[in-house]
Parts: sequence; C-alpha cells; structure tokens
Amino acid sequence: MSLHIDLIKSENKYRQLELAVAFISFFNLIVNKLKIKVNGEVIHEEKIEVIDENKLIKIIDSNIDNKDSLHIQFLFNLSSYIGYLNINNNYDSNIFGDIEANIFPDKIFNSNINNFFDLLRHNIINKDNLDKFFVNHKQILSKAYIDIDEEGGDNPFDILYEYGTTGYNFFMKLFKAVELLSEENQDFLDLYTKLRSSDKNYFSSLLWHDDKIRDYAFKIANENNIVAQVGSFRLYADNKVQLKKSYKEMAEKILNPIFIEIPSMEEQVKKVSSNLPNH
Amino acid sequence: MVESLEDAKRRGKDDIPPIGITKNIYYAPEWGEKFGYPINNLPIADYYVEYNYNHKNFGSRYLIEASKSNLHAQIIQLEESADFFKRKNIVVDTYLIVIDRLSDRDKRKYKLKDFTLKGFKEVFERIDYNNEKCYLVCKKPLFAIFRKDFERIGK
Repeated sequence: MSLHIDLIKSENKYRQLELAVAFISFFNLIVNKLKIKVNGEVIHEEKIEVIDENKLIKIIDSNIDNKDSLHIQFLFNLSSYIGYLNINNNYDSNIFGDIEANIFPDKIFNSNINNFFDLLRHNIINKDNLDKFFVNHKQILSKAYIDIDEEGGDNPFDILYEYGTTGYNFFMKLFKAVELLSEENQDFLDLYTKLRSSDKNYFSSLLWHDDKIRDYAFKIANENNIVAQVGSFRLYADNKVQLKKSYKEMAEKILNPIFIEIPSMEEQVKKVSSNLPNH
Repeated sequence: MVESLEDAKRRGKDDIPPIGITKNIYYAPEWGEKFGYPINNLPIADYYVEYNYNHKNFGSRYLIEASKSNLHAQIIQLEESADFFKRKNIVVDTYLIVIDRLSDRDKRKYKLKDFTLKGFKEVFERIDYNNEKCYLVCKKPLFAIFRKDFERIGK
C-alpha cells in the first residue's frame, strides 16, 4: 500500500530528487536518515536532520557512470509514524515507481496506521493536499497511485487512490475491469469477448471524448462514494468493494448497451466460414 | 503499551517458526525497555528469538520480521533493526522474514531460492535486467519462509 509516483520518461535523477525533496517539504516530513545504494551496495549512510540537496547532487554527479543504478532512501517521521521515501534506481523504477513512499506498520501504539493509504484514510495526509502537490508538479508527473495489494498498477480493482495528468486511460481501466470480471462471472464473458476484438485505444478515446458518457461514468463512481474527476484525473475510493461495484456498474450501464447489438467476432467468423464453399 | 505487547504475543504464535524450543522471545514493544531501541525514530522488526536448538547453518538467535505480504517494505524494516542490533553488539545469527505471499511487485524484484533447511528460502534481488544477487543484511544472507511451510521445517 505504498504511494508510487511515476515521472514522465524524459525526466532524470536530478528531477526525481527535486520532486522527492519537494514532497518531503510539502508534507512536513522529518527526515532522520539517508541511505544511498549503487548496484544494491550501500555506498553512503548517515543520520541527517535536513536534506543537503547540493551534497546529494554531488553524490549523483560522482556516480555518473552508475547513475541508473543509484538508489536514494530517506527514512522519515510524520507525526508519530515512521516511513521511507525511495528514489529508485532505473530497474526498480519500473517495479515500484520512480519515487515510492510508505509508512511502516505501527507495532507499538496500535494506531491503525500501517501504510501510506491509512494516512489518507485517517486524514493524517489530506487527500486534497496530496492532489494539490501533484497538481503543482504536473509538468514532470506521469501518474501517482496507491495499490492495495501491490499488484503493480495493472489491476483497476486494486487502486484506491490515483492522480494522473490525463484521464485518457480511464476507460482502458474499465476494459481491464471487464476482463477481470469475466474471469469470475459468466455474465461478463460475452461483453469481454466482444470488447477484446475491438480497438481498445480508439474505443477508449471515443468514450473519453464524449462528455455525456464520461460524466455518466463519473456519476456512477460518485454514487459509490468514489471521487473521480476530470481535468487532471483523480480517483479516491475508501475500499475495494465500492471500487469494484463502481466498475461493474459502468460495464453494465455503459459498455453493455454499446455491445449488445454487436455480434461477436467469433460468431461472424463462423458465419462467413459456413457460407464458404467446401473443397 | 501493555495492550500492544499482548497483541505481539498473540501474533507471535503464528509468526515464529517452530524451529525448536524457544529459550527467549523479545517482542518489538519490549525492545525500548530491554535494548534501548529508539521505537519512535527507527523502523522496528517483530521478534528477537533465541532458540535452544543451535543449527549448524542458522545458529540459534533470529531477528524476525513477519507480515502477510510486501516483502519489499519488510526488508527495509528488518535492515534498520539489524543495524541497531549490530551497533549494540547483540548477536543475530539469522535474519528471517515470515510471509504469506509475494505481491506481483515482489515477484519481479526478488527471487526466493530453496535452502538446506526445508521451508527456508534465501532471498535474492534483481539489480538489473540481467543480474541478480543474494540479498545481504549486515553482510549475512537474508532468509524468508512462507507460513504454510512452517510444518516442513527440518523434515
């Protein structure tokens, strides 16, 4: 349940550092330890109270040949909670995001704050403030999200918080949701079979650019207590049950009516095949 | 505090691998008092366990971090506790993570390889697309075990 932040591809280690430092400052995180790794080996470790950005830039500069494998970790306190913020090396960036923030489970005071999402759930970090931070940095941001079971951002049922600079992919998420629903519910199999044979990028774009359909999808989300907004794209759900219900309703009320009159590709192939002369 | 210690003791029954008879179990909520652990400033693992049985490869003193999932965050947590124990000259023979499952992310980053004590798996990390290496905590290999494999230990 970490917060994963992806920057646009062209951004480099310096910009990642800049964003991480801005994040620390914006949310008043008290950094207490710095650890730097190259190729998995710790090359620098120190207790710190303030971040010396120039010093970190020098460390990045001095590892110019290893910059891709440079990993910078800050341990921090937020109120009475302890967490970490990682600027990941290039390999880990593809797995955990360019920047990753999390809170360690509280084992001493039973506070129910065990991960980053709990900070939002209990308003220790206000979700509007989190959105605001990302709005302030949208020029270098691709997206930021929290996935509950750490499935890597591909499972729409797993993402309870998301901020994206564009909502263009929103309906792609709905298509993925239909795929997952079809695995557990026969009712969605027909829809998925038809959906599978369509040009998803084109179809997603069609749906997104139709204001009425987009607004209707967001209305369904809102009725399930899910915040979904256009502009920059924002999504927040309190739990996975509501989120899944929301996608299910969108599939039933938006995609089903579109596809119901359309024969499946499989049926069409069989039809054409059966009309061909036998050899 | 007392309440969280009771919780820790309750959880310990499911978290501490049945390697042998335990001589001492020190639960995280006790570490401040017993070891001077800075519980407000440092991530904390779950248990420091001394077993009666001294295994030839694993010794008898284990630092254990247990959770359902998210190996990645658990490793960071265990490392910080490991550093503290090392600074305090408290001997740890084996660093161990107890887990129920690997998340999809964990599967991409880490590889668990079987080791001689059945159930125990050595943790490897991928450092780029072509290379992986044994994950070391305080220069010792890190081990993981799935709870479902508790009964396989040593058989």
